[in-house]
Amino acid sequence: MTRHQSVRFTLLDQQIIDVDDRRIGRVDDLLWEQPSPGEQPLITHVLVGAQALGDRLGGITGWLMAHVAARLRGTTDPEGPTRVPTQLVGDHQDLVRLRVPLSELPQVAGLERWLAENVVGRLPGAGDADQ
Amino acid sequence: MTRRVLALVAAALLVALALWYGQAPPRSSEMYRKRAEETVQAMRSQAQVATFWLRAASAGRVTREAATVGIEDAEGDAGATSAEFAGWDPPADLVGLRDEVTDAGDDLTDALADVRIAAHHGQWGRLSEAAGQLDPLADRLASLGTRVREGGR
Amino acid sequence: MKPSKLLAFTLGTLSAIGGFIDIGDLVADALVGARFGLALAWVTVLSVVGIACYAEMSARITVQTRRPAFDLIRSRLGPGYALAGLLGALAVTGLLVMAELSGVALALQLATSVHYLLWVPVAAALVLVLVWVLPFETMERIYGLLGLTMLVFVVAVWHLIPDWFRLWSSATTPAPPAGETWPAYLFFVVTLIGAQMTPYEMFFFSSGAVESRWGPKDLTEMRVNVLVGFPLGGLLAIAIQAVAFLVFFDAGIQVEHLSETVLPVGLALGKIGLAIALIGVFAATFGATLETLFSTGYQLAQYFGWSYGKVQPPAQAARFTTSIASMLLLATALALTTINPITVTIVAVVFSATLLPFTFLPVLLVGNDQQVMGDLANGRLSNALGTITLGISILVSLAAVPLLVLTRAGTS
Repeated sequence: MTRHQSVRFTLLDQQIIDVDDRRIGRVDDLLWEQPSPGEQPLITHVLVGAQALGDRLGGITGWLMAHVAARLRGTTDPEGPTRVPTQLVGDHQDLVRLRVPLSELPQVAGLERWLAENVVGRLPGAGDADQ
Repeated sequence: MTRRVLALVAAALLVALALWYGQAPPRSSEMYRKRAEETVQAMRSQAQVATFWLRAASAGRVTREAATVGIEDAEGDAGATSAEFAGWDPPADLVGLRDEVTDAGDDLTDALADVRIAAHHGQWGRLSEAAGQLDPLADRLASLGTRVREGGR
Repeated sequence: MKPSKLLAFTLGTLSAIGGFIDIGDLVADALVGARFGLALAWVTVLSVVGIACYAEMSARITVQTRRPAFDLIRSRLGPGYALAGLLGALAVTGLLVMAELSGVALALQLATSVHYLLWVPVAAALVLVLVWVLPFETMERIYGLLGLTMLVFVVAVWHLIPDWFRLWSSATTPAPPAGETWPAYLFFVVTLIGAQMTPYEMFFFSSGAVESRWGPKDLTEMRVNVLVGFPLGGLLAIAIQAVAFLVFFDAGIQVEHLSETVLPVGLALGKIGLAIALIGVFAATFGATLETLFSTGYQLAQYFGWSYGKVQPPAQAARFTTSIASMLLLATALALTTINPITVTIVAVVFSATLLPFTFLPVLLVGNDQQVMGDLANGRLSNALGTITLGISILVSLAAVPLLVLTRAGTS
């Protein structure tokens, strides 16, 4: 690998899909940890969701986005924006592919779940796809 | 952050200024005369559109439904155009011009209202004569427009 | 070629035609034809070339990466820039949804003389039901086929027995005719470009490529759709200008309503021609409602990374489905405030013209990215046309609002 690989281009803002090829969201932010002083920082979690994105964007727009998103989340997580541990991330060449299906990530895409259960899912024909 | 806010405020002010300029009533005699000419041309166009629809309907080229809608559109436009013009204060020396234009506007809206009512009542036989009523109005507006443009009154 | 392949070919083309003609075109082309004759026909030619270039580019990006063009804007240019683009696009396209929906209602009004505001909720309900029930390609097919009826405008030109020399000399004189000023002429250049080179056409075409699951082997089919569909759309636009010219120009009539757009067809071809024109207008505005509506959903979903589209059940793309339904509701509410849809169209179209360079630039950049595009990266023709179009869009973007103010939206 001769090209300098920056996480900015290879990981951040990329589309995340689960093991069933279903779109979940994007890599909206990354959580780093420095195990001990002097050591290389590691990415421990991938943050997903408009709350994480709003925090990252900053400014008035970012604040607005983060607050609205925090309100709209199905679950209330005191820890802050939704996070996915990096162990669950598989190949991230082009799309960021997770090793597990969405059903095993209850904290991710809460709004999607809520809408699917309470609004869209209740309408007739909601389960039918195009052939 | 403050720079961005300032930029946004400046942009908003610019937009507001631009909109105000666009909507502002005419102030000088020259501008007033120009707006008068535009108004008269618009009204003449509206009279002629109505005539087109009426003639097309009597010739069976268009359905009565479509002609009714066309006439309603023309009437609505005529009302809006003359009301807008009437709302502008004329310069002292052009009060007569204002009267001429608003008179023509009133006659036009009356004529078009009659046409619209007859159309709604299904009196289509009567309407080809109504088209005849609109022609002299259109001519009157045309000559008024020429006089305004040439600086007469 | 297998019959089904041929069908797919023609139908993609038809939706490109339908996508080109919408309420903005229907009114702007007639307006321009009545005031300027064919002196603005060159703008249509320019717009066709420009939008075809960028539609092909964004679809080619999709064909190679299996992801639509807007999807890649955030990945390559960052969330901040993409958010600005998203908000601008949502505002303009949202206004257009309202205008197109009103256009459907206006077409129904012309057919029945029942007031258009009463038709607005009916049209919205029809859109909602069809979007829910019908597969993507069937939707495209229906309004694509019905949109073919717009060709009646071309027939009408013939039937008006025009002075062809006069048409030709009008088309080849790119200057305002007597009685019109240059600022007004230039304002309508901007308006036509805004009405004919709309970003949603590009995004819809490339998202549609995802929905139709196009891959590199479909490249030729995609190019045929572009090369046949958009020019045909341009031909229709010029035909609308021409009939308005032939009927209204000498009488000095100004066009401000959809009713005036179809009147010349009635005069030329009688009630049958008028009926066919109304079907065409209905199909064009209905199709445009669907396209603008879906565009807003796609843009939102692609920015945030949600699942979207009709390839999966609505329950698995809940946020996408909800945003589309909400947008339709918003558009209906806006239409029911009785605000003039033609005014909204002009405003939306002028602001769309202002935002054009910001939508074209990322697509041009991604199209040139060798890493992403591989052997399907832009060739010299694509880049040449793309850069020229981008340059023109920058000029248009800068001139749009000043001209809007200076000419008071073309009235002086």
